[in-house]
Amino acid sequence: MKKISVIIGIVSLSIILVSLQIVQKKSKNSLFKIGVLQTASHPALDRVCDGFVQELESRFNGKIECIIKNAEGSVAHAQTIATSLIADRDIDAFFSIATLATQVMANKESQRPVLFSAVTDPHALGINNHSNVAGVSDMTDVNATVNLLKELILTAKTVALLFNTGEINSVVMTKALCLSLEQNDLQPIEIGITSESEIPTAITVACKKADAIITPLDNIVALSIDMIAQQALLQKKPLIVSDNLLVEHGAVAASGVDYKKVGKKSAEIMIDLLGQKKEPQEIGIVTVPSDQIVINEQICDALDLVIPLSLKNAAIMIGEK
Amino acid sequence: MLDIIELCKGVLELGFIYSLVVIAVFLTSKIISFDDLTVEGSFGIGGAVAACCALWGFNPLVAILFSIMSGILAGIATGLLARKLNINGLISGLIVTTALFSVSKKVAGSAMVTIPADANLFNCVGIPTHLNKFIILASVSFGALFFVKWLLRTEFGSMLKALGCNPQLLTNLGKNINGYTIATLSIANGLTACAGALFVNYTSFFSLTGNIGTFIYALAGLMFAEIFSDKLGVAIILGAIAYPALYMITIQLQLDPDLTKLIIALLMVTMLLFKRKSIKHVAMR
Repeated sequence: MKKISVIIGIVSLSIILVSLQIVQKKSKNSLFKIGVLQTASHPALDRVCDGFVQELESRFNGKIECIIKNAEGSVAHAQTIATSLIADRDIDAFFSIATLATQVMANKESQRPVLFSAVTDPHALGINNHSNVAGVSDMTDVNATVNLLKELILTAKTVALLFNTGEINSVVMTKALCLSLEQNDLQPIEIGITSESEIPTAITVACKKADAIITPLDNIVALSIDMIAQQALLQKKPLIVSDNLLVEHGAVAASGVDYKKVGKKSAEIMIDLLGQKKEPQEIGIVTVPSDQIVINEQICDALDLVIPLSLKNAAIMIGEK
Repeated sequence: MLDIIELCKGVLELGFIYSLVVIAVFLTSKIISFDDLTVEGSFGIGGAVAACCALWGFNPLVAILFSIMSGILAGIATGLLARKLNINGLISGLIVTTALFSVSKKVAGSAMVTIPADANLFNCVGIPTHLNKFIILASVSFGALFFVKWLLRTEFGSMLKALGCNPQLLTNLGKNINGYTIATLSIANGLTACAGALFVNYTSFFSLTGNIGTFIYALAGLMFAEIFSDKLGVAIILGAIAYPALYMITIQLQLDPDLTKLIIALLMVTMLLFKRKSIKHVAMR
């Protein structure tokens, strides 16, 4: 019996390996093949991916093949996916979206170019000393966010910062936000969470203690934005986010980067890399300016916030009556 | 062209790392019937300690020893909670894992720490070839397996087996049940922390959320191992390899990524059915 199962095992394994080989065949009419590893699926990261793929396809008239994989937040899965992408010798370059994917990809591949995107603090990862790595940072201008808060919410004195202690991008940005708030004579209150299940308690505490709430770029916040926004509105506390896409889910406003732009910018760099016009090291780390302000008029009305005219002209207004 | 050797190497390496956790879960869940959730936390703390030591410039081998010690301490903590304070075993594991989240953060100093290349275990130890990682991980995995096999053959091991099926026997022999439980938990968590440290060195970075899902992984590995054999042996390592292998297959087939987990579940069912058939076959003979 043991022998039979061993034989069956070996036979089925070889069948699988052969079938994998067939599936992997490069489609003939594509010029380049790119392996994309995304950290998790949420609106901002999905937009980076969309922007990237769209821009590349329009530039190459569809003659490009992108293999898009999602690690759904797990390091072990990201590791396996990276192995699988790297084993494909037809792939010309790799594109990693967000911090975790970038860490894994940059540490596993040392020859072919790795382009990262939507990483808030690339210097903290120590990936800038890899010679094949370049990328786009999505660090938002924290001072712009704090200024926006001051202009919109005149009565604010204490500001709660809701962030995930387990996410490096979130922690880095929270620190910067704290500093900026203190410089503007506002008192920051840090409220750390570690999982989605802690959000209801955290948001209740935040609403009790502070006049307004700010969230940094944070995956857990992005995933549970509906719950956060609903609670904040219920308690009549304004919520400022760092990710423009989250405003339509019920936040008051945001001053952040447009993730589609981040994706497009990444695509442009990728084209340079593929054409070997530039070396990854030459490109280094690029930032996309975060000059776009988005304001949710409906929520502002509900909270009796007056939007200054100057802001109204500069910002994109959504949720109009 | 697909580099199949590279692919298999990646899967095997990951499997070897997790095989330590599967052995640990085998020791606790199977041998002494104590379902220990601490493995989730000790995997993290092992990695955190390794990262911290790397930043301090310790020798990677010393770092791993410290990691193992941290895991042993975590195991002792769970054991004391469960046996001295009479808290339910599962809950004690959960409590320690919860606490270790904060401890890991403090030890590592940040939610994500990059291990400097010159402090990485795989760059400092062994021969400088591309097979270095594979050789080290395989030897650690088999080393741990043979250590636990040897351990179970000693008098101590027989006591552990007795503890699992008939604790009364130990009391009759005048042995201390609590002591044996705590000892097993510390060994299991020491192994897990070692896996955590290896994982951090393998990926070159420590992530605070890197340990999430370790217990599920280990249980799945144990289940797969049972398909091959019920005993402690190479089957355990095969079981640990099976999960990343299945995941790899679903990725390589380029199926809809949303369906990945569903396909893994289906493959699991197929494998379990296959196992049941083979048992029936043996019974009929």
